[in-house]
Amino acid sequence: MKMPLEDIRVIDLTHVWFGPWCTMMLAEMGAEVIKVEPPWGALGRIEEFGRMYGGAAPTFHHLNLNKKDIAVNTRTPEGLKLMQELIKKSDVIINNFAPGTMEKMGISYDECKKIRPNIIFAQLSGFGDTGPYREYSSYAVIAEAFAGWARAQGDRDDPNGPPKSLVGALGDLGPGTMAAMAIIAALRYRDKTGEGQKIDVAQYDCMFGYQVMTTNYWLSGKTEAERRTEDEERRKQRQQDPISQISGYLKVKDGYIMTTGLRAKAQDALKEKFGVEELSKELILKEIENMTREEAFHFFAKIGLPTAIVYYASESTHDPHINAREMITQVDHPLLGEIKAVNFPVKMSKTPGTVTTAAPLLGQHQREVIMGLLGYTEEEFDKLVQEGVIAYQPDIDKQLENWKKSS
Amino acid sequence: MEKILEDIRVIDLTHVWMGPWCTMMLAEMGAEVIKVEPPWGALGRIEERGQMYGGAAPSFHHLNLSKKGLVLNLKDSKGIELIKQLISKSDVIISNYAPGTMEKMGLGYEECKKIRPNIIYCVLSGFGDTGPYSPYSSYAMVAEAIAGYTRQLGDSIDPNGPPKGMVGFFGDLAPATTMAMGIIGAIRYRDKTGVGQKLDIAQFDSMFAYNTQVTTYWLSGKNEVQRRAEDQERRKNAPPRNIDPLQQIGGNLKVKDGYVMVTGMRPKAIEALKEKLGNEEITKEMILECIAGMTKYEAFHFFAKMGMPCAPVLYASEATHDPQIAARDMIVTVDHPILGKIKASNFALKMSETPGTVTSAAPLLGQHQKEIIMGLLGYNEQEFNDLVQEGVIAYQPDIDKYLENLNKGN
Repeated sequence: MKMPLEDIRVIDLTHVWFGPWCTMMLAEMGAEVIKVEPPWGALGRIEEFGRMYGGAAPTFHHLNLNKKDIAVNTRTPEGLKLMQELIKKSDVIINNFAPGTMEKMGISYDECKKIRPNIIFAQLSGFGDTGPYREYSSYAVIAEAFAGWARAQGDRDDPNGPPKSLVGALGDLGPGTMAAMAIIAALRYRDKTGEGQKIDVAQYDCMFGYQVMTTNYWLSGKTEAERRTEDEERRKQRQQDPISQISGYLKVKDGYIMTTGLRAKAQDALKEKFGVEELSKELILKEIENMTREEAFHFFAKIGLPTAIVYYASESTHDPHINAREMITQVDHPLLGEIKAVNFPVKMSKTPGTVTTAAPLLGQHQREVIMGLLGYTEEEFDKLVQEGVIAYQPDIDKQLENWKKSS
Repeated sequence: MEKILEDIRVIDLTHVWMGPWCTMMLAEMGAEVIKVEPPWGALGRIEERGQMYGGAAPSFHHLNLSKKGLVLNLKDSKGIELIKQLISKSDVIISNYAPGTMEKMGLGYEECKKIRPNIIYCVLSGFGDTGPYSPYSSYAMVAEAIAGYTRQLGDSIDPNGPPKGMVGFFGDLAPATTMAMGIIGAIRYRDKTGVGQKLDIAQFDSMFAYNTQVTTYWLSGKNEVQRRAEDQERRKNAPPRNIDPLQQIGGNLKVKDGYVMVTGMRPKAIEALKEKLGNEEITKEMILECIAGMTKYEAFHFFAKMGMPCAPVLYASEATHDPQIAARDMIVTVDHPILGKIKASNFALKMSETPGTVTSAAPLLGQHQKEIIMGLLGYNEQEFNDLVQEGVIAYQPDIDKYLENLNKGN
């Protein structure tokens, strides 16, 4: 055994960000993830205003590494049958449809269990499978607004002003990692007991769980407004500390750095560097104003202060540390050729996570899965295509052939 | 077997937020997590400006649920001896010290492997165990800044203005969840092969991987400024979307008592809106006027029922009163030896056979000292007292009394 999940097959009915991130984590730990798309392609393939690369949006390329892909119209009886046959041969089925959709499709948890008794059935949604909001739809920003993140972000600038949405869709990706964690845990439980289970992951639950602030209010019995007033008082009392005054985003010659932490040792080191007995904000800012971000970063970091260069994401892709950590890898895409991709973020000495393939073309593994895994003949396969149950892009064979030749 | 990790013992040498979140996830799935603190208490127990509750900051209470508390002086050779005995009886050891610290203490991966050959050895840090920034220290906002989030948030306000820090310490919590996932993967691998391994996670690596923006730049070869200019061009040249006022109103909308967040552009919802407003054409003004007199919860249900993804923008303290959170059992009550019954956030994933559980409040400093050192490691009372007197372990004299109260309370 080389990878923790190499014996696991996952049917991936997810789309957009939340689900695909989760299944990518599983794929990078060795699972065989079969992404099932409708014949017209998954929602996440298209970015509304952005440019497409090799038939998909950049985020699609990011979130679907290492996966196989089939294009099936699951709303036809034959499509449903294909799904049932796949479920029979799989360990995990995961979806982020609106609650009730899997039931309507005839592949609810109970139905899936009949086909594969020890299946692990993961349902990802905005609000979960229970509770008053279960029918409502969601995106990352919704979960963030509900669980207090957007209001807290707005309060940073002006407690009386509007809320502010976060960037980066962490309301998708944070819960997505949790779902992956739970699936791997459920697999271990199945190894030991033979039993599968249903996992119900709500973005709201997860973002509420991640919100460490809540405990403040339970313990203090105070609201944000009351807590803020108290904090303000305390902050005023602390104004004497020169390091705490310079903490934050500091302007240097070519941009900003972020520095934080109040370490006594670093303050002493600063005093020594500047040859002064007392530090002041003005002194520190003046000393660094002619440094580049890189110079200022190393300057502070070397004296033990947690510091960062404030990068654009495009700049962090060139960072020497990210490159030294091998966080960037190359994959071969049938249409784009060699492209860069982000590597698995946990370095595991015995079972390193690996990025093996680029995000698939729509239906790229159609033949491999339907004929190879499920045992359909060429004729049956063609019939399914003609009936519109599965899609098979006529030029895909040619594309894949060219691709094999070049690699 | 009732809980997934019930046969797993974790030695938790982590502090602040990142490590404690990771080990809390493991504890809520059933692992026995032994939090090891110095006699003067872990850094995270104290919040600099905030109020303390039962001897700890609110965030400490949040991040250390379901763990046992052990105090060891790891600067004393006998303390190291004790932790080595503990390693021989454990499955996972996890630390977020500065790189090199574990080695200095004689607890490097190679040493630990000698004691427990199949140990799963985990290192959490800002920049990881390799690479040029490896020795540098970090916090959540450092990882967020260096992975592009901070600049992006600033850009969402003003591309020519300063960067803007994100709230919520996702730069700690997200990498920590990734690590918990990796650890469970490594446990499964050990189940099957008997082989342990070392896991090295860096906040920078993890936040970089979470940032799906980076792929855009590799594919386009353009940087943010160039992309932004292009996007604006494209938007200008796009055909007018006069049927879609929601596209214009998407975002944080003001209502009577605050804001709602509305997003998504679903045609069905737009049809439903037209019907509600009794108009063929709807404008942004009409919608804003329609919701201006609603409360944020009224406006939320109004939009959500039509299928628009919508949220009332809540303070975290308001979210604790939200009916969905209550219906999802996201809040549990635990017994704290000093504070009595307190509320805590439940494990966020609903697992039908193996529900995650919050079993106990964040421990007092050294709360499980006797249970672990005498019970697990087999020291007798005399030896225990000697260790206290020598300053190898700390034992607060009033802990026995607190624990008695706790037992009485149950």
